[in-house]
This record gives sequence, structure tokens and C-alpha cells, in this order.
Amino acid sequence: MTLSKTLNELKALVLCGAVILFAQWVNTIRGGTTMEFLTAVVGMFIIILISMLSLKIKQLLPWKIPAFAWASILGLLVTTPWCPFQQVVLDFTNAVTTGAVSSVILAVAGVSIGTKLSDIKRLSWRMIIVAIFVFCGTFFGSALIAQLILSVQGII
Amino acid sequence: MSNEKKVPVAEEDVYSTEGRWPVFIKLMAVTGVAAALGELVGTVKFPVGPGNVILLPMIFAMIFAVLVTPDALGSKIKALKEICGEKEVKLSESMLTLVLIILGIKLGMSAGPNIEKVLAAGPALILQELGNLGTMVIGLPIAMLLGMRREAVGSTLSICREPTLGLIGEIYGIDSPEGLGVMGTYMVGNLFGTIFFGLLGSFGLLTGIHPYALGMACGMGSGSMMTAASQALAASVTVSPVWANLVTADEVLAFAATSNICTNVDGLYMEFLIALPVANFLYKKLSPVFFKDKA
Repeated sequence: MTLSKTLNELKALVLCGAVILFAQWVNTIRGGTTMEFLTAVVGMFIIILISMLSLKIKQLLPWKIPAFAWASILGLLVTTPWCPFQQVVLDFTNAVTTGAVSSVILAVAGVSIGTKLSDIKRLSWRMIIVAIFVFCGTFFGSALIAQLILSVQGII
Repeated sequence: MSNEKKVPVAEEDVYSTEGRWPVFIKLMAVTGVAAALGELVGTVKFPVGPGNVILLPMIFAMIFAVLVTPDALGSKIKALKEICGEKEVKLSESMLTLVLIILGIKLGMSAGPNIEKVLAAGPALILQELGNLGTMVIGLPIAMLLGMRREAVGSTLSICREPTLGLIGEIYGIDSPEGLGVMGTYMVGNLFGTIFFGLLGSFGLLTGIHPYALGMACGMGSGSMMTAASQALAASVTVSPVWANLVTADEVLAFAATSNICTNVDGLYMEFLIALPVANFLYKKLSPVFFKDKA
């Protein structure tokens, strides 16, 4: 965990943040949405700060829990009503839309499968059918159990 | 912060910018343009049955991004390879982790203000983790029906992301039939998983299952797939005539986020301690049924 590595992570995160804000800005061109640019920039810096924390927690702890999970946990903790700066954090970070983040994620994911497209030739039709059932299995398996428990609890 | 603890394997600095600024800039330009084009296309919705199926900008962003990669148009147009080549693709895998972390924070932030609702739903959140075993309950018999043998165990153990590859690789070896099975589902997931879950999140609402339960179902252990599923579900809820006034998009995302935390924490342990033994048990019980003539 050297300083230069930390610095590189920070640089990469700032790049990601810039692209996300750009995507969000483009969305406003289409109309219908507005963007408070300065607020969003500050919000993005708060998010980047928490991102750095998640990366460090992941690197320092021996457990096999991805940084993504730590990020969600930290994001949750700082926005609970019990957190003294909940409102400040939300005021700024709400200016960054989840939709813009998702678009950038899927764009990066799209590039990342760029050298794997030829795998398609190695896949048998059986594999594709099985995978579809596997995906539906985890989704509806979880959904049905949740539906059952939530209705037993009287929440839904 | 101490540096005394020696990390066993010197981890390579995947975000090193030394001499790689052009790679960073090109990758971010490509993804920026792809995301921007996706946002320009906007949200497309078409009516299906009683509701709508929604295609979010992110789906188009992904398609645009795939198009410029070396395996797609890059193989035809040489200039594209200069902008988005193997180096950029390699870096994109590391950058994906970072953008996902940013999303993880945003999702956590939709859960924070709803923490009381989330805690109240705690039992459902924990028990629905067992639903991830649905992969084999449904998948294993199908795989065996299609004539797969031990490959069936690997391919239906879970949605087969990188940690599963590691687990099966360690136990059976990645060249074993089980390993080939995992690789199969892994590859299908790479190629179609995100788009498929983007549709499933939206279609799910048509089943009549409550959006809270569907939200929890979105956390299945893969960052990009859960992004696609939860965003599509949240967007569908806000335009649904049935749910729009009862459920907010933030609540859906809150359940997706917390369920995903659960899967991230218990995922690998559950696969090893529960999923694999159950899969082997099912395989043993089902073998005489499917392979009686050849046994």
C-alpha cells in the first residue's frame, strides 16, 4: 500500500468521476432533467473520498469481501438518519444521478468484453440455455423467498 | 498505517499512470462517448402485456461500447484499434472495479435514509440469500436433461463470476468437467448477462411479485448485472400504473443495495458450504433418472 499506488487510484477515480459528470450533463441536453453542476462536482468529490476509503478498507482487511460491498456499507452509514452529517452528504451527492453512473459502468463493461467476443464461437447452444435458466433461477429464487417472508411479516 | 505486514504476492499497480496516460485518456474518451450516446438515445419503453419493458440509456451505452472494441468493428476498421485496442480493454477491467465502487456508494446512499425499512425487512433480506440456490434447483435438471454430466454441477453452481471460477478451479481444476461448466456460464454471463438482467429487472415486475422482493433479487453478486437489473426495475416501478404510487425507486434500490451487500459477504462461503454439497447431492439423486440407460 504505497503512496504512489494510492495516488494512482485517486487519479483513476477522478477520471471516472469526470466521465460520469459528462454523461449526466449530456442527459440534460436532451431536456427534461437539470443539473446543478457545482453541487454535483462537490458531490462527486465526496463520493471519490468514500471510494478511496473503501479501497483502503478492502486492502487492509484479510476477509474476502469486495471493495464494492464496503462502498455500499460506507455509503449507507453516512446517510442514515443517525449520521450527524447525513443531510450535508445527501444535499451534494443527490446531484449525481445513479443513472449516469450506470451508463458509464455499462460502457466500461462493454469495452471490457471487447476481447472476449470470440468466445461466442466456443459456446454451445446448451450452455446458453443452461445459463438462462441459471440467471432466472437466482433472480426468481430470491424474489419468491423474499415475497414469502415479506408477506408473512406483513410488510407487503 | 504500517507497512510491516508483507503482502504475500506483490500486487501489480493496475492503475499506474506511468507512461500510460494515452491509454487512460483513450479509454475514458471511448466510454465517455459511448455513455453520452446512450444518454442521447435515452430511455426507450415499449408496452408488453399489462406493463412496460424499459431499455435504459445504459443498455445502449454498452452496445455502443462493445461495437468499437477490437473483436467487433475494430477487426474491420484499423483506425479503431488505435483508439480502443488490447491495452484499453485490459485497463477497462480494472476501471470497472472503480466505477462499480462509485455505484456501490450511490446505492448505499439510497439505503441509508431508508434504513428503518431495510432493518424491518431484515429476515427477508437474509433468507432470500438462499434463493441464490435457485440456480441449481432449476438449472441442474435442465442441464442434465440436455445431456450434460459433471459439467452441469459447475455451470449451475451459481451465476459463476470470478470468485466461483477460483473456487472450482481450486477444488476440481479449471480443465475438469466441472471447470468447463463454470467457464461456460461465466462466458455467457460476460457476453449476455448484463443485457439479460437489464430485461429481467423490467420484465420481473410483470409477474406480480412485489418490487421490494424483486429489488432484493437484484443483488446476486455481480456488480454490472445487479446494476442493470436494479436500474431497470427502479425505472419500471416509477412508470408502472400499479406500483408508481406505492413504491419509490429509492426503496427498490435500497433493497437491491443491501441484498447485494449480503451476497458479497456470504456469497463465496455459501457456495462452498451449501451450494456445492447440494449440487453434488442433486446430481447423485438425478443421475439414475437421466442416465439410466447409460449407467
